[in-house]
Amino acid sequence: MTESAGISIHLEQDFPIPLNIDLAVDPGEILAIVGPSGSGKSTCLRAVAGLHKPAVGRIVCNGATWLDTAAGINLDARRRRVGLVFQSYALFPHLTTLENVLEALRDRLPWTVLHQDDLPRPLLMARFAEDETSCLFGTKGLWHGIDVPGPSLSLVVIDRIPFPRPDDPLLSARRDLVGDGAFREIDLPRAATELAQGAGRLIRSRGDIGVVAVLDKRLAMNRSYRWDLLEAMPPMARTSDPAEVASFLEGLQGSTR
Amino acid sequence: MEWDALWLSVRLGGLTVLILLPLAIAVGRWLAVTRVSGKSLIEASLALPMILPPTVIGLYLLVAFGAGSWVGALWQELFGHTLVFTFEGLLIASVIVNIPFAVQPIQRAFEAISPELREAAACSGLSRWRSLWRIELPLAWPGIMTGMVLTFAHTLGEFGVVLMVGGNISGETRTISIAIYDRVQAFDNAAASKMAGVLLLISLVTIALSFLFAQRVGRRHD
Repeated sequence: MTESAGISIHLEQDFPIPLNIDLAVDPGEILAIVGPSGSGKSTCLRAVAGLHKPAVGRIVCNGATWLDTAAGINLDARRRRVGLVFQSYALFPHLTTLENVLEALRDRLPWTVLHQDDLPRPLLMARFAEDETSCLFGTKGLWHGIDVPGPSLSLVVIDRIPFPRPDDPLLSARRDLVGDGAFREIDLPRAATELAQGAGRLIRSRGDIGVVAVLDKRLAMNRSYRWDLLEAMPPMARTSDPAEVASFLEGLQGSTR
Repeated sequence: MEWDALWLSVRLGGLTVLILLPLAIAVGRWLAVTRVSGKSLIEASLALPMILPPTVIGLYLLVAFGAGSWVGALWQELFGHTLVFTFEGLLIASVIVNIPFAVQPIQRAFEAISPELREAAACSGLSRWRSLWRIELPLAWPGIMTGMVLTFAHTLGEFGVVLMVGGNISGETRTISIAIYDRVQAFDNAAASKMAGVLLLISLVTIALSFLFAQRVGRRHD
């Protein structure tokens, strides 16, 4: 077992739940821990995240020792980079979805992170354009009227296909009127227009190069409507391979420097 | 209408709130999460001013502030006058008397925040300070608001402790409640009623505003 890549976990305790765990996970490997309730699944994950300290244990992740009870090492949870989804989600109830995401990102990204409400719009856009590496996060409000030509805007990430809200009363009434074909006639054309406009944020001048990433697998998989959406978008090369996107972006970064 | 007595009361209440706010947040937050042994004893001693008759607290504070005690002697040494029968002495007494009114709602508010949210904040890499500022304080806000309003309202109405520690010196320690009592003693019920009415109005407005404010913040993202 090598300790330089992946994570190795060794835990032992008698209290509050008896545990004796010894496992290693390689990079890229997905491991599911299955067992009856009370068998220590959550305790194991909490120990990895740094929320629980077992009596005896050693956790090494990518060569960094997170926990070693023999050596008196117990890295603070804040400094372990772990994603943990709690049983009850534990979302911050007073924040919006976007703010929940940003709260975890702000201190961890090496770049300036801007939220759409951080500054008045003109100042916000100036800050974003000025700092080439900055990331700007926003909801539908940012969809229109963003005009940043050049390398400052070379990656547009759209989290999902912008179908209109199902609870919009005006659209609901129209859907009722149309009946069966409502999705094709009302929702799909709107999503296609919106998606094309979102993708249009990238290309603001003749020389603009970059990536539009749509993190919605329906755009790659849904046979009944994916082409309606793709054909509405500006012409660009397509891939579903993240590695290809990463190397393209790296090349882009090299060429602008 | 004794406007200077009213102004003195409002000043006393405002300063008490200002001094107690950071203290009560620190103590309330700590009591909400700590598992230290003897926690009940600490909680009980902090709640004591709520149970004790004001005259008893006043008597103890009077003795503690007097030139015979080390507190009183130290104050005399530093500022050249005694602590009793001064506004400063009244303010310190007011802070002590209001500890339970400020700490308890704030502690309950912090207790109501699920421990999982604190853990989620830690896993997201939020520093302790950022977690307090961005997650816990906004969630505890209605409780903090309640604590502050209770403190302010209670200071406006405090009578026994003020009389014992501050006496009845116009412009220095005569609060609105003392002024009302003073007027009643002088058979001037008309003046007393007028002042009582103003006090009633101020209390009502304060509480109404605080309810409105707490709701506004709580409703921001429903």
